[in-house]
Amino acid sequence: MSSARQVTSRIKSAKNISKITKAMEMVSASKMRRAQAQALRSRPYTQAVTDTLSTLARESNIALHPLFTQHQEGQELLVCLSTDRGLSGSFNPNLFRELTNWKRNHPQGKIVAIGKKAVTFSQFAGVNLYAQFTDMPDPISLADTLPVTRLVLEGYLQREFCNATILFMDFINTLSQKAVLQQLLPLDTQAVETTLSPAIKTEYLFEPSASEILDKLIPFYVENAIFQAFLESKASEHSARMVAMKNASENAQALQEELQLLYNKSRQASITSELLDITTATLTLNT
Amino acid sequence: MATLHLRIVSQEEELVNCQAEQVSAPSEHGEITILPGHTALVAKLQVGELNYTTKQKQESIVVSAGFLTVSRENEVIVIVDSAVSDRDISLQKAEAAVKAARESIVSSEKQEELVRAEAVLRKALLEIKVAQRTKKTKL
Repeated sequence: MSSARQVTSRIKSAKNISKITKAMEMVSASKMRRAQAQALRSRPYTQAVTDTLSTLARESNIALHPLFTQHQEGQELLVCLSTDRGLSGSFNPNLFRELTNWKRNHPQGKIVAIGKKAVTFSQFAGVNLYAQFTDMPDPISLADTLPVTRLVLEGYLQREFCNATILFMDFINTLSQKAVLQQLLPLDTQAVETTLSPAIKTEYLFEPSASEILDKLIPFYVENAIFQAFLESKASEHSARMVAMKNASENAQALQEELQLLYNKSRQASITSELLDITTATLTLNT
Repeated sequence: MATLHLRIVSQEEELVNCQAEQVSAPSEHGEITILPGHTALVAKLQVGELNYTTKQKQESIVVSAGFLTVSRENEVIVIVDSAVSDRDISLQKAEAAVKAARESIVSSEKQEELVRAEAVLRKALLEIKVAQRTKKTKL
């Protein structure tokens, strides 16, 4: 009988697990939708800033701006966007594979880790971090990403870094996310110039001068690129967690069914043996 | 009558998207008013009040320092910053992040020991669990 009791307790725990994972799945699903909506809402801004930047690029030579010029001093910098919490399936392992690859190719490179998981991974792998940001709020706001931008921009301008790359999980769809390395600095002159539509060639007035506006606008452009990466990463995190939790609930369900079958079988067996006992007992009494 | 297509965008959302007859914005060199047919312009904005009339109604919105572009197609785009107040403390936060990383390097050796100890413990616990299970099934 102890085995039947054991099985019931295992059924119970499987049920409890499936309840928890189901709840987590639903929470992640709603968070994912919110993150996607947030990414969508910020798109008009990206468009506006890029358009204005290409307009300015026609007027003044952007290649001369310090954030567009390549310099060789300092080390390479990688900003890695991971999560603060676990149970997000293949999100972090895929990210860290890419991180290890990068570190292997750039042994002198410096790493800025975002999220507790990246911090613990770097400690585990014996990689020293340049800076670490943990406990990023969710939903994330632009203000939370500003320190990261500040760090990258100032480090680059003070020639501490010779370039800056950001590593994050790009949201492709709910089922797939991809680790992406995107260069932040120096800015790509061509990317700005190719967005120019050559058909519209209007003369613009600038107030004050084009170069002065450019100086003020470029930091916003970088900031936006980083913010976008954060939003992508958040959407990926939640969708990865949602899928992982969905799988976990399904597995718990399967386990529960399997155990239920086992329990029924053992119950049936004990009933049969009891019946056998009773019949043999009555038979012996009657004879 | 031609109207202006006014769009005010911040990093986090689109604040205004409407047809306006007139837009007045606080530029660096004083207030400018834009009417349909205005020449193409890129201007830097100051903190202040941006007024616009849409369907004969006067509306106003407070804008932080930002940019204004007017295209030949009567399109007015205002780029505003939604996180002005947070810019001042961003440097402190960045410095704190660098410091936190230095501290974690110091503690990482301890961490390494901890991780190793944890692995040993986990293995031992697992062994106990397996032993218990085999014992139970044997009984």
